[in-house]
Amino acid sequence: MSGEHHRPRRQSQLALRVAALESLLLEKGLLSNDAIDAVVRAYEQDIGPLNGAGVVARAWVDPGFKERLLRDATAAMAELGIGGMWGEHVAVLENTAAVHNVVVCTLCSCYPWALLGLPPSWYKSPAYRARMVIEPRAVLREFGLALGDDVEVRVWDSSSEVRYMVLPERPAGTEHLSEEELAAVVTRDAMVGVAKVKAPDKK
Amino acid sequence: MSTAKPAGLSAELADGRNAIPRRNGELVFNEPWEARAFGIAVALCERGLFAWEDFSRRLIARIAAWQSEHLAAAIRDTSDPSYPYYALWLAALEDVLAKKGVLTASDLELRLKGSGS
Repeated sequence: MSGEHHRPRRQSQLALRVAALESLLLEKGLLSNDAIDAVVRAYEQDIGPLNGAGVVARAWVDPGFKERLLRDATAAMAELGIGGMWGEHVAVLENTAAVHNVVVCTLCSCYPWALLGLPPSWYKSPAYRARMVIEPRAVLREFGLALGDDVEVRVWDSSSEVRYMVLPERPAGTEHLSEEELAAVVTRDAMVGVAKVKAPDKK
Repeated sequence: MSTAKPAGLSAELADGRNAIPRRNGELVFNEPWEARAFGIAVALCERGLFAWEDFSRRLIARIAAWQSEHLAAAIRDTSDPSYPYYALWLAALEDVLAKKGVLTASDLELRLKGSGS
């Protein structure tokens, strides 16, 4: 594609544009370098799927917590110290043997940042956003998840009003695991609904 | 991009596993400027300069406009490496700042000219 050829130049123009925007905002006293650095560092390093995995593991071992999580996710997350302004407007959907929930944002890229960090690039892609609604079973198969015809697939469209996360099924053979060990087997993809959680291999 | 990649969502998944390891998940920005554009928008929203919905609405509009131009190609190409997500993000950020009277497009153009590039 001819667009590929111009990519480096386009990238440097965008970089200059962001730098100009940043310098203007700094001069106006609307931002500090530290504030931007802190946001970037937090989302690159600290805020990510581990938060969601901890929530899932707690829900698996504590039925009372699970019930609260499904009823009011924001309040339940706060019990675990997860939240702030990006933890608002979150809803959690439970996967069962009969119902498989999967999440998409058809219009842009809304995603439960506080639980999962920033979305992977495929989640933002036009293809995922368009196709998940139209042919969810086919898209799930591309992710390696083949669901039986008896399983109902529900596709949820996240927005800035409600950002969805999936509570995956606890896999068989994990009865002996601690909450911490359970959190370690929960994956981001399972919490978006494009995968199931697998029990760890026996040593 | 010098390495050929298999097409499809599952290929992207495999890429995710091979990405530079992060403490919590995968590499989220492809270029440093993307991280800055992200950080500026989030920091300004956290300071209350605009509501996230104000930004989100403009991001949706920018994405929709891009897609109406590129729809046919985008639907066919499942990996779509050309999708300029953070360029649209930046455009939406400029839109919301202009709307709030914080910065105009000409402020930005003037600064870009002055930066001597």
